[in-house]
Amino acid sequence: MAVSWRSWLANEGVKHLCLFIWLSLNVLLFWKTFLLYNQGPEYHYLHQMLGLGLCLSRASASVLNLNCSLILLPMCRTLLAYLRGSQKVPSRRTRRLLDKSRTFHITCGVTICIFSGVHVAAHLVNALNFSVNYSEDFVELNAARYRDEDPRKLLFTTVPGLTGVCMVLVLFLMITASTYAIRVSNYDIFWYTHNLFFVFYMLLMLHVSGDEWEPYKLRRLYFIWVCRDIQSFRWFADLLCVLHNKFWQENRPDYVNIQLYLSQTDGIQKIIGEKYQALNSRLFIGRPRWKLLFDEIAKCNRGKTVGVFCCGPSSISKTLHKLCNRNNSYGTRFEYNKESFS
Amino acid sequence: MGQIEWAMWANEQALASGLILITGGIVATAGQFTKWGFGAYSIAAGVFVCLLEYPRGKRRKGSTMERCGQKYLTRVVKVLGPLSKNYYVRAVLHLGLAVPAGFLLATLLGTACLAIASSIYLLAAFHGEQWTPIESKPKERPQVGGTIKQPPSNPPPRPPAEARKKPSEEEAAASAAVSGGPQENPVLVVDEVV
Repeated sequence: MAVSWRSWLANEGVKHLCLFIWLSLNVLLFWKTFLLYNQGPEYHYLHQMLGLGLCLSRASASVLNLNCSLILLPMCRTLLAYLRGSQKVPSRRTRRLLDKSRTFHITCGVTICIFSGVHVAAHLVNALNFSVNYSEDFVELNAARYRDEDPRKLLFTTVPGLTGVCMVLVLFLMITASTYAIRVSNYDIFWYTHNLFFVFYMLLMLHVSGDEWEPYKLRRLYFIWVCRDIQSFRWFADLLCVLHNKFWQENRPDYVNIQLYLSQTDGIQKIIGEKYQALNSRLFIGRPRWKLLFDEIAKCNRGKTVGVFCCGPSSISKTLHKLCNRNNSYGTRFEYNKESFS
Repeated sequence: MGQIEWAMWANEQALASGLILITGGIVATAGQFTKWGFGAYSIAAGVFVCLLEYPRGKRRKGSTMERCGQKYLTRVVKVLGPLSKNYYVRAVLHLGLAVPAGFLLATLLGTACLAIASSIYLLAAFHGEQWTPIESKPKERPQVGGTIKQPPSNPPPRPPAEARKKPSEEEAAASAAVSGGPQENPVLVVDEVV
């Protein structure tokens, strides 16, 4: 049967154009992200550790991001009805395009399924590689905590891992209930499981936020310790000296900047002997002058993000918290983290 | 909710789980990871589950959509008796098959999915559902025109009911008997091609 091109264009043209635009967007996103992680200098070491798995998992993640954002739009029935009925959408062609909303929803859904498969497979391989290629040199980059850590533990004890597993299970329930046979015979199952999309999105928000721990690339550690009397420092004096020597040997003496403060001065004795030579010169009397310290750190790390980790009483915590939010003229950002054991 | 046939959903889930097990198993054996034996097991279990679950069972009410080419497997699955018919047995079987695949990272997902399918089968069994094979009945071919005895006695266009009821009952019966064949049209019918 010969096709009339005019009819074909009227019936299929705009629909195919939109599909083409959507497809190009996906391909572009995948390609760009893949190249970024394959060649970007800031991911060089991570790429050495993980290889193709890194690029595939990130590229598929960006495609998933796009499609998860788009998939809800065609199901906003009130919005569609409003557009259809108003003067905003003048042409019949556009109105007929809106009729295809459910098809677009299904297309995005299928894409999410496929790329979730890619993403999960790539991350499972990544987990394995994190565990097998664990290196002492890149502790901060590695999600694993020691060599040959069981990758299943990585999966279930990290926020992205756990939320990822739950999302896959939710997706499994939703997909198996969305097949044509089920919709036709037991619409209830399809309807109730599809409402799990809310849970899926909550998990997705958490999944993505778990990734934010990566950007703390450690360049220098300022270790500030405030104690009342000198004996308290003995607990960690050995460890601190060992660390100090280690970094001296590795020719990065300024990697850890140790500052010990003795807040009470009665009965003071410097840490005795040659054994703790390194610490003697780093011992200060009185409370730390936080403002000056923050200014110095800001000056040395212009425009960077500095993580501040406080473990202590609430008076110090309040001071540090306020200082973290304070403006500085170097564009440095201080992120405040607190932990307390009392 | 009383009319929901859980078995149908469980069937879809089990089929999908089988495929996930096969995929995970292939990744595990091809990558030659440690404990790849579990990967090989996973492929075998996945294939078995897929074959068992492929023929869809008959719905209690209404017609069931058959999967493409399922009638061949239906014959095989029917032979398995209670293994295929009883959903309690299926639930336990799937749970048992799922466990060994849980030891390997690549096939862990398949375990989870098959376990969920197993629990839905258990739910179906509680509701008293069971698997009945879809049998295709041989179509009787009626002789063409065999049931047509006489042409319709009162075809349209029909005059309104009053016109039809005007003569008395006996006369109507008599006239019906007399002009039992083609009826008299109130208006001349001309076949015009527009």
